[in-house]
Amino acid sequence: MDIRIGITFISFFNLMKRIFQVSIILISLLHFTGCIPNTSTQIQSTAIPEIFPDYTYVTVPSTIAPLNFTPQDTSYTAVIAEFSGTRGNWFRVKGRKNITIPKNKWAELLKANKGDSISVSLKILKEDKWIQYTPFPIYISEHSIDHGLVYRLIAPGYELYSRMGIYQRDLQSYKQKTILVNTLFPETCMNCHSVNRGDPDFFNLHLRGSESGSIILKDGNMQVYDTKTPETLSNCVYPYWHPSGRFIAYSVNNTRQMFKMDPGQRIEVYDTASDIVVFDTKKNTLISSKHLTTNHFETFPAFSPDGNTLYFCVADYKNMPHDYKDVRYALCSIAFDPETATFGPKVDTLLNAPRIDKSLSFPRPSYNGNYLMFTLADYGTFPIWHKEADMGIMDLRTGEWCLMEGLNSTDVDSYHSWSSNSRWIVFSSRRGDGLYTRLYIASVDENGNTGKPFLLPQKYPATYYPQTLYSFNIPEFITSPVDVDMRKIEKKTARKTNMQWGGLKDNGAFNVPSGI
Amino acid sequence: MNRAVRTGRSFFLFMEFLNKYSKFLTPLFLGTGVFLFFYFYAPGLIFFREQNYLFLYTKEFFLDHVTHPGGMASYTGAFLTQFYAFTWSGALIQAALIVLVQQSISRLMKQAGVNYPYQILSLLPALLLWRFSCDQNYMTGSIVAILISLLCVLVMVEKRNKKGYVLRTFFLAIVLYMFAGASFILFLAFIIYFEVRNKEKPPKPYKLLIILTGGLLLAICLPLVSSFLFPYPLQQLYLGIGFYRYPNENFYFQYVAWVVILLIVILPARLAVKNKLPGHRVVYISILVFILFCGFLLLRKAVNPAMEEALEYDHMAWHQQWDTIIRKAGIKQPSTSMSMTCLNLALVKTGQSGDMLFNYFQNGTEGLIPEFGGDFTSPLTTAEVFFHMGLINEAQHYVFEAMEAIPNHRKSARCLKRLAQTNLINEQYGVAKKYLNLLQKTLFYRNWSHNASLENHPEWSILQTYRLTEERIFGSTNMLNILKDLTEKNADNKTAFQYLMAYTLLNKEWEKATEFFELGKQHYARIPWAYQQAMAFEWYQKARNLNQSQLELDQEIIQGLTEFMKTMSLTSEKQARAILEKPFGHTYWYYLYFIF
Repeated sequence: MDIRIGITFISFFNLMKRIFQVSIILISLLHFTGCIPNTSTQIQSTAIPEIFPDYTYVTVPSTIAPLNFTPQDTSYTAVIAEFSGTRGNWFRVKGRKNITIPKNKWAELLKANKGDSISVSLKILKEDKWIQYTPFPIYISEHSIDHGLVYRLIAPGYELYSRMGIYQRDLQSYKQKTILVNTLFPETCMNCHSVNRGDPDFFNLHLRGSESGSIILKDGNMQVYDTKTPETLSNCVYPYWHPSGRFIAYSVNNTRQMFKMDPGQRIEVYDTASDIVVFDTKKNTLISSKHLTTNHFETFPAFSPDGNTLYFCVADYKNMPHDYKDVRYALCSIAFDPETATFGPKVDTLLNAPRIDKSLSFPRPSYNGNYLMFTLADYGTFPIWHKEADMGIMDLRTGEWCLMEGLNSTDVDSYHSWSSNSRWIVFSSRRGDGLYTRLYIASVDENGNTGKPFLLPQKYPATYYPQTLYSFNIPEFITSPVDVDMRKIEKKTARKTNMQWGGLKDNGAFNVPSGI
Repeated sequence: MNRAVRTGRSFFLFMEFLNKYSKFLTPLFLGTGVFLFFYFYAPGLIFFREQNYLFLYTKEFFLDHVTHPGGMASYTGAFLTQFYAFTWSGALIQAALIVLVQQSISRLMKQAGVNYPYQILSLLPALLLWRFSCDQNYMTGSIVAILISLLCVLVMVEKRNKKGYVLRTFFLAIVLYMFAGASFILFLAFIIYFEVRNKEKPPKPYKLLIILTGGLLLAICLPLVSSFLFPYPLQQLYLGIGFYRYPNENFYFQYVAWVVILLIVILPARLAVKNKLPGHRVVYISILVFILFCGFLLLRKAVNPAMEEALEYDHMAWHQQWDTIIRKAGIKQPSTSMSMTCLNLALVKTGQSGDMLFNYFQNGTEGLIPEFGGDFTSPLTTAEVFFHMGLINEAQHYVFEAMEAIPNHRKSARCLKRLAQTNLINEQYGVAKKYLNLLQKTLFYRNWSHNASLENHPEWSILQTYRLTEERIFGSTNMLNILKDLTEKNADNKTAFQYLMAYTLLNKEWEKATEFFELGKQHYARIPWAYQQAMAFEWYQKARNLNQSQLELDQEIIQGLTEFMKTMSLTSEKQARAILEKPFGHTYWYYLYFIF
C-alpha cells in the first residue's frame, strides 16, 4: 500500500514536471510573439503624458505599492516607461497596453530617492512612430505612511444594498483582505468602522439588519453591544475613539432620505433629530451633556488628540424635510475631562459655516493637534451626495481656515482621515466618474500644505476602476493589520450586551479657554 | 366491446413499444416535455433567470464565483443562464440538464445492478428537478452541482477496482466540494454504497472501515474547515452556497431530490424481476403509470400563473411589444398589478389609453404607477413607466434599487442597460461608460453597448427634453403634480399627458378631468371615450344638464350617462351594480361607483 502511494506521488510529480516544462516553452513562445517592434522613428512631444491614474507630480511615500498606469490615448500599440532617480538604479518597463511596474525595482528606487524625486519618461508607439513625452516627476516624501487602510465597499445606492463588506488594504502591495462581509450575515448592513488613531487593536464596527449590534474590539477583547437605549434616539453611529481608548464618541440620529428629480442629482440625506453621546467602555455606560442633547442637531463628534476637547457639528433645528435646504452645520467644541468623564460648561464655535451659507461635516483633527480637516457643502449633513462638497482645513493654533485647493475637484470630495503621523490624509472623491467613490491619498507638510493627491494604486487600475460596481467608503488609516475573527463576531452577535444610560455629565466648574 | 378490445390492444402494443425502446424514448420524451413546458407554458421563468444573473467574461467574475465551495457549479450555471436570453435556448438548456441528470442516475442504477424495468424510476428525481425549476429562485447551478457529483460517481465507480482508488477518491471528494459544494454528499454516499456492494472485489473489513470513516470525516470536516477560509454561515457551507437565490432561506425541499436519487439507486437493486416476460412488462408499465401520476401531481400547480403572467407582461414591456401586450390582454384580463401596469403602458404607448382605459378592469393607480415594492422585480416595471414619460431619475432610482435587491448579490444585464441609458440621457457620461464597459464583457449585450449613444438613439434625446430639470423631491404622494408638471413642460410629451389623465381618473379626481385635458387636447382630433365620460360626469355634477355642456361630447356619452345616473337614482347600490354591469361595466362611471 505504501509503495502504491509512493508510485502515485512519483507519477504525479513527473506529470507536474512535464506540465511545467511545456508551460515554459509556451510562455517563451508567447513572449517571442509578443515582442515590441524595434523602430527608430521617434517624435518628441513637449506635453506631459495623460495617464490613468494621473500620477504626474504626485507625492508618495517611499513604501507605496507600484503606481501602475495606462496612457489615456488608447490608439497606441506599445508603451515604454523609464523610471529613474538621482540616486539608485533606473529601470524600464515595456507593455502592450499597461505599465505594470516590478515591485522590487520600484521599492528599491523609491527607497533610494526618499526625500527627493524620481523621473518617469514615457513613450508610446503609434502608427509605427514612437512619441516621446516630456518626463514627469513623482516626489518621494521623507515621511512614512501607515501600514494600510480600512474601508467599506458598497454600491452607491439608495435604500437597498446587495453585497457590502469591510476590507483592509496593505499600502505596500495590492492585497485587500476581508475583515467582514455580508455573505456571512445575509441581509445585514455593516458600517461605522473606526480605529483609534490608526491602531486596529481598538476597533469599532456596527451591524444592522438580521444581525445587529456594535462590535467593539479593545485590548484583545471583543464585545458586541446593543447600543440603543430608551434614553437615546437610535443606535450609536459615527464613532470616534478617545485617544486613551476608554471612550468612544458617537452620534445618535434619526436619519431619512429623499430622492431628487433634477438630472445629475440623486439623494438627499437628512436628520430629523440627532444628539451626541460618549460610551465609557470601562463602565459600559453612555453619557452625554445637556449641550449635546438639545433640540438642535448635534452630530459628527471627534476627540482632540489630547482627549480634552470634543469637536462636533451642530445645526439649528429646522422643520425637516420641508426646510432641508436651510440646514447648515457649524463646527463647535466642548471640553471633556477624561478623568471624571464629564463635559465642560460651554460650547465654543470654531467655524460658523452657516454664516457663509455653508454646512460643515466630518471634523477630523490631526493627531499632532495642529490642524482640523472638514468638509464643506452648501447645506445638509451628508456631503457625499453634494457635488459642490469640498474639503477645508483649519489651523487650530491660529483658528484660520481655508479650502484645500490642491485637493478639491469639481466633484464631491468628502470623507477624510489622517495618518498616525499626521503627514498623510486619505479622502473619498467622486472626481473619477461622478458616482463611484474612489480613494485618494495626499501628503501634508508642517504648514498644512498638501501634495497632489494620488489614486489608491491597483495592479490593473485601467480595468479595476472602470469595472468595479462598488464605492470606497469611510477610509481610515491603520498602523498594522486588523485582526478580527469573523467567526467570533458571528458567535458574539448572538449574545449582545446592552449599553446603559449613564446620564448627562456636565461639570459646571470646568474652566475652558474660549474658542474662536 | 370490440372497440374496447381494440383500444386495450392498441394500448398494450404501445406500452410494449415503449418498453422495447425505452432506452431512447425515455430521455426523448422527458427532454421534449421539459422543453415544451418551459417554452410554451412558463417562458416567464426563463426570462426571469437571465434577467437576474449577469454573466461577465472577466477574470474578476470568474474568481468571485470559484473562490467558495460550489463556486464552479454556480459559475457554470451562470454561464448557461446567459443563454436564457432566448426562450428556446433557455428551455433547451433546462431540458438538457434534467435529461443528463436522469441519464446519469439511470447509468448509476445499471452500475448498481438494478434490474432493467426499475431503471425508469430515474425519471422520479428528474421530475422533482423539473418541479424545482418552476421555482424561479432555484438556481441552474444547483442542477449543475448534482450533475457534476453524479458524473464523478460514475467515473470513480468504473475505476473502483483500480490501484490508488481510495486516495484518488479522497482527493476528488475535496475537489468536488470546492466545485459542486454540498452536493458532494451524494458522491460520498454513492462511493460508500458501491464499495459496500462491490461484488467483484469485496472490500476487507478494515478497508470498509477506512472508507466509511473517511467519508464521514469528509462530510463533517470539509465544511467545517471551509468556515475558516470562506465568509459564509456554517449552515450554508453544509447545505450549499448559491443553490437558492435567497441565501437566508433554505430551500429544504431540494434535499428531498438528493434522498430520492440515493434511494432509487440503492433500493431497487435489491428487487429482482424475472427475466421472462410478462414480468418485465408489467413492472415497467406499473412504474411508468406511477411516474406519470407523480409527474401530474408535481407539475399541475408548479407554476404560479399570476407570477408567470406578470413576468411575461414585464418581458414584453421591456422589449416594447405593445401590440402583443394588448392582444394578450384581449384574450385574458391581466390579474396582477404588474401585468396591469404593463398593459396600461402599452395602451399609452399606442395612444389608446384615452379610449380603452376602462375596457379592462382597473384597480386604481397601483396598476398604473405602482409604489416602490422593495423587491427585485416589480420596480423594474415601474421604472419602464417612468422612463417612457421622461422621469429619468426615477427610472434610474428604481432600476438601481431592483438590482441591489437581487438576494444573491448578482447583477442584471437588463438593469445595467437601463442604467447606461439613464446616465447617458442625464449626461453622466462617466457612469454610463462604466456600465457600457461591463456590458461589453457579455455575449448578448456587447453589440448594443457599442452602439449606445444619444446620436444612435434619437428617442433618448427626446426623453432628455421631457425631464423636469428644476430641483425638486420625488414622492409618490405628489405624483399628480409631477405628472402635471411633466405635461406642461413639454407639449409633445403625450405619454406624460396620458398618464396624467389616467392617474386623475383612476384616483377618482374627476373634477380635474376637464382642466387637465386642456393641457393635452392638441394630441386629439376628438376627445377620447374615457376622458369624455369623466368630463361628462364632471359637468353633470356641476350643472345637472349635459345638453348645456360646452364640451364636445358625443351623444352616446350624454345618453349613456343620463341612463346610468337614472338607474343609480332609482335603485339600491347593489341592484344598480347588477343592472349596470353589462351595459356600463367598461365605463368610467362604473369604475367610479363600484370598483376600487
